[in-house]
Amino acid sequence: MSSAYKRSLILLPITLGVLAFTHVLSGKFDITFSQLISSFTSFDPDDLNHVIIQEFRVPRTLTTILAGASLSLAGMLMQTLFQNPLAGPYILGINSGAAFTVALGTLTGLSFFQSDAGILGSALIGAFVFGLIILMFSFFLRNIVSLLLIGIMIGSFTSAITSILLSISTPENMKIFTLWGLGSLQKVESGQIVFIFISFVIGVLHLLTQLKGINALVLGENAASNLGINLRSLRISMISITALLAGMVTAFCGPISFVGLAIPNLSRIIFKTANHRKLTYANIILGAHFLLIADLITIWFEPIILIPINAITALIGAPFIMLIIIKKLK
Amino acid sequence: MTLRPGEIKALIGANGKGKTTLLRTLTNQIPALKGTISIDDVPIALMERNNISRRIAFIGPGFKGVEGLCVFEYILLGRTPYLNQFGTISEDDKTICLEALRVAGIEALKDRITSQLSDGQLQLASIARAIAQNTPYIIMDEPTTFLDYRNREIIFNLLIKLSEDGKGILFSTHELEFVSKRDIPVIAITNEDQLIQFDQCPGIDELVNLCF
Repeated sequence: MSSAYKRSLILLPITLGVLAFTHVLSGKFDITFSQLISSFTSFDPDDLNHVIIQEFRVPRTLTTILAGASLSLAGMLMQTLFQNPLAGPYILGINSGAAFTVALGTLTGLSFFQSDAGILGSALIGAFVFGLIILMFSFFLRNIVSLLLIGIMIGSFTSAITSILLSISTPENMKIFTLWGLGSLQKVESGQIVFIFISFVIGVLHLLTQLKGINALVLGENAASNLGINLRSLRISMISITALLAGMVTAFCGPISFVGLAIPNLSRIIFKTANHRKLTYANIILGAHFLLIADLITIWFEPIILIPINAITALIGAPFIMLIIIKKLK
Repeated sequence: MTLRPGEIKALIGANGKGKTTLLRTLTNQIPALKGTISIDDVPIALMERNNISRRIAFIGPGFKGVEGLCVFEYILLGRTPYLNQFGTISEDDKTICLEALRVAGIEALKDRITSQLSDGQLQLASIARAIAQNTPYIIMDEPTTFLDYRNREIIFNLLIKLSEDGKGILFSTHELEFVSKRDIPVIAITNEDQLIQFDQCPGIDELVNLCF
C-alpha cells in the first residue's frame, strides 16, 4: 500500500506531463513539438502557430490542470467537513451565487456584462459574496448538519431567483447565461491564469497548515475536539479554502460539475487512505488528469460537434467511476 | 469525586441519569453546570484544548470505523495533540503507536480497514488510540456495549492492566457482574441523584437497589 503510494508519486506526474503535452498539441491546427518549444524559446509574434500556442493552447491546458485540481481539493474538503461522500465544491451554493450574479449582470442589458470580462467579474462577485454568507453562518451555527442544510437552502433560494431573472430576460441574454453555465476551459486568457494559479497556491498552502485538524475530523467533530482540535477555526479554514478554490474556477470557467464530486471519492478508493496529506496529492493529480482527459475528448470532437465540458465530465466520468466502485468494492 | 493515576473506577447509573453528561463534562466537551473540574489542580475550563487532550483521552460510544482509515492510521490520530499544524508524523510517533498496538494485543490488525472490523476489534483499536495519546487519564463511555462475553473480558482485563501500569481510568458501564467480580471501585449515580463513591465494589443487589 505504502509502496503503491510511493510508485504513484513518480508515475502520476509522468502521465500528467504526457497528457498535458498531448492536450497542448491537440486541436484544429496541427502543431509540432518543436514549434511548441520554439514558441517559448524564440517567440515570433508573426508566426500564427506561436500565437496559437501562447494565446490559446497553453492557457487552456494550464486552466484545465488548475481547475481539475482546485475543484477536486474543494470537493475533498467539503466531503470531509460534512462527512458525506455526496458533498462537493458546490454543496454550499457557491455556483448558485455565481449564476445569480451572472444572470443579474446580463439582465441589465449593459454590453459590459455580456462581455467575457463582465461575466467573469459578476461571477467572481457572486461566488465570493455567497462564500462569505456561508462563512458568516458557520460562525454561529454549532451543528454542521444545520450548516449543510442552510447552504443547500441558500442555493435553492438563489437558483429560484435566477430562474425568474432568466424568464424575464431576452433570448440573447439567456443564451449568454446558458453558455456560461455549460462551462468552458478556453475563455481564460494567458494573463488571467495567474489569478487561478495564485488562488490555487494560497488554497493549498492554507490547506497544508490545517492537515492535522482535517485528519482528525475524519473521526467526527466530537472526537476531533477531544484530540485538541479547535473546530470553529478549522471549519472556517475549510470553507474559506473551498470558496477560494471553487469560486475562482467557477468565475473563470463556469460551474464545472462532477469533477469535485467524483475525484475525492476516486482518490480515497484508489489510495485506500484517510490521510489527507496523501489525499491532497491524490486529488490534485487525479483531478488534473481527469479534466485533461475530458477536455481532450471535447477537442477531438470539435471538428464534428462542440460538446460542452460539463457534458463530457459526467458522460465519460460517471460510467468510469461506477466501474471502479464496482470493481474495488465488490 | 477524584480519580488518581493508577486507579480504575466504574461509573454506574440508570439510563438517563446523566452518566454520559458527566463524562462529557469531565472531558470539557460541555461546560460544567456547577462545580469545578480540575486536572492536577488546574481547572479544566482554564486549560487550552490541546493541553486537556494531552491529559485526558476520551473514547466515546459507538465508533463504527471509517472507510479507508486503517487501524494504524486510526491509532496515529491519537498523536494529534502532539503534532504540528501540518500533521507531520515523526518516527517517535510511529514507535509509540506500534507499542500501543502491542499493549492492546492487536498487532495483527495493523493494516486492516477500521470500517471492516468487528465491534470488539474496533474497541481494542480505540483503546490503542487512547494509549497512543499518552495521557495519564482515560475516560470511556460504555466500552463494552455490543460486545460478546469473551470480548468484554478482554476489554476489562486490558483496562485493569492499564490502571496497574499507572493510568487513571474511568468508564461508565452496565456490566455489574464484571465490575463486582473484579472488585472494581464504583461511582454510583443513585435514584435520588446522589453521587456515591465506593472504594470497594458493593454487592450487585445493593447497587441495583441503589441505582435502578
